[in-house]
Amino acid sequence: MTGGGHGTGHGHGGAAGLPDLGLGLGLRTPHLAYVLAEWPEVDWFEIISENFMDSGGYPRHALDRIAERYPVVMHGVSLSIGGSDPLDPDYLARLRALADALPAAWVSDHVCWTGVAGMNTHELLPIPFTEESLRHVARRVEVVQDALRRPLVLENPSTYASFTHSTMTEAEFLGRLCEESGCLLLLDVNNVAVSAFNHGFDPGEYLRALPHDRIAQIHIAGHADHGTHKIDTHDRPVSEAVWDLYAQAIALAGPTATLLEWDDALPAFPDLLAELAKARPYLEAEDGVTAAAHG
Amino acid sequence: MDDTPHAPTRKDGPVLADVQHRFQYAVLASGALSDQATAMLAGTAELSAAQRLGIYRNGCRTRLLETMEHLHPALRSLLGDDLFRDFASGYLDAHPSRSSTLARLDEGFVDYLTAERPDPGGSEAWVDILIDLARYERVFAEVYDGPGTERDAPSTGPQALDGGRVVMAPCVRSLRVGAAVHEYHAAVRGGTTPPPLTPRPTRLVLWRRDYRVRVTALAPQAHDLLEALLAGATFDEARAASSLEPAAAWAHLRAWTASGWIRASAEPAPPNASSAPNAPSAPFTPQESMQ
Repeated sequence: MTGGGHGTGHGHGGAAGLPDLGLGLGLRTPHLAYVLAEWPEVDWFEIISENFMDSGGYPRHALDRIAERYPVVMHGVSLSIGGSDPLDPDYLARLRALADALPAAWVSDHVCWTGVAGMNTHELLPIPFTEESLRHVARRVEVVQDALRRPLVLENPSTYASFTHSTMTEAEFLGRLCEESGCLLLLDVNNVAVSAFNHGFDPGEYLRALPHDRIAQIHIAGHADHGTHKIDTHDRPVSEAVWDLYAQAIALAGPTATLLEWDDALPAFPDLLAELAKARPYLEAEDGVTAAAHG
Repeated sequence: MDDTPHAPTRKDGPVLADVQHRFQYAVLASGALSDQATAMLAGTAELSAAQRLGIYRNGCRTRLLETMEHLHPALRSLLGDDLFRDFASGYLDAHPSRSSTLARLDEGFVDYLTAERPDPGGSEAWVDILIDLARYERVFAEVYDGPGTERDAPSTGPQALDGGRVVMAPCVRSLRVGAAVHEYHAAVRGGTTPPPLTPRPTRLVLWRRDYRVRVTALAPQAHDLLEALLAGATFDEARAASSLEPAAAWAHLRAWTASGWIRASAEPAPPNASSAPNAPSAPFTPQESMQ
């Protein structure tokens, strides 16, 4: 199935029946030619959905060929599940068409909004964690899941601002959202580290508060530390603090499909693979614990 | 004056839609952040509410400007970084994105530049050239990533076209420009810094083959023929518009079919066409229906 016959499957399924795909990389346009030429040993790829939804040119051609050999997950940035504008049926139709065509292992986006009044800021903007927001997002998740005919996986974004009228923590909000809508979680441990620093909460407590059986995927990435705040930049290696959080997340959720995101200052593909390989010992250690527990 | 959208509140806090309108206004606007925008956010000793909102504003503006630079490398080279950013900032302020993808961020850029040109009456050739370069870069991107014909069966050619309509490939575009902007663009993409553009009216056609964008200059009459065909004219109408002799027009049509610019004739098939050796091919149906 995969390019190099390396399939890391961990011998068990992931959350809610979704497969544990192993270790994957974000597929970026500058690496398309390399992947097509080398068919590197990576378990799966994640694409930015919007980069391919309207493409009829080389990027889509390359993606179609890659999807014949590797599992592909679609990760969106413009669903605006928390937005107060109506959901865009045309966007959902195009998203589903791509998901069906590849086919995508699953479809994800972020617990955020990106614009109102028909505009798109192209930023992942924060939502207040209130009962109103929870009802609103849960309703829209159901609409999206019906439109896509598959479960929606939602990621905790990095945030730099919080609302004074929020009535619950982000972790509590995500847990209740999963419970009320049936969605799954994409746990970005780098975003947990960034938001914890920016808002002064305990990242370990955050991880422990999540519904671990709903975590379908984990993101790892690098961030920039500006002293007073951290910014999710995806332009450098994963920090030690994030690897520590990753180990905690794997211990809580079990071995989970894990993806390295890297967007700016993109290194050569083999360097990305080397960074991704750092996650393997954490997964194998937890696999050993799991095997012993079930042995 | 604070003209931030005012937020109605309920007993459990402001309404979500109003919170988002206020937040977005603060992110997209320039100038000082208003109390209306920051009052709903929590600040800390390390970072005030205004500074937190500023992170979003700066992140948004930086991402959009970098996208504009990515979409228009040649125009940026021609104008220089500062002037390009001035134009791009003005455009982004006047036309906030309404697209789900950043690849379409510049869809209204040419119209914006045309509307805001600094020379009354359009008298300056250099303004035309920079607008033409922006248009060329937009069209180049559309041809690169738009629908193409790579997955189609080869066209059988423009047989039996007499008076019929010609179906053009979806990846063919014609442009009239005031300078050799295609050469400038190719040089920038190749990593060199070309000399400034000088006026030289040029008729261009862009198309895609094997997922690569191709461009060539055409003589005026041939370009007139192509423009008319792209506008939906029949072969006879297009030939008349170009003033080409029939034989010359036919020769162009055959060459363009061989180049993949023309998919088929949509002319009603002659009797027994399906069994005729030179039967016209079926009208082209785009492979990508997601556009």
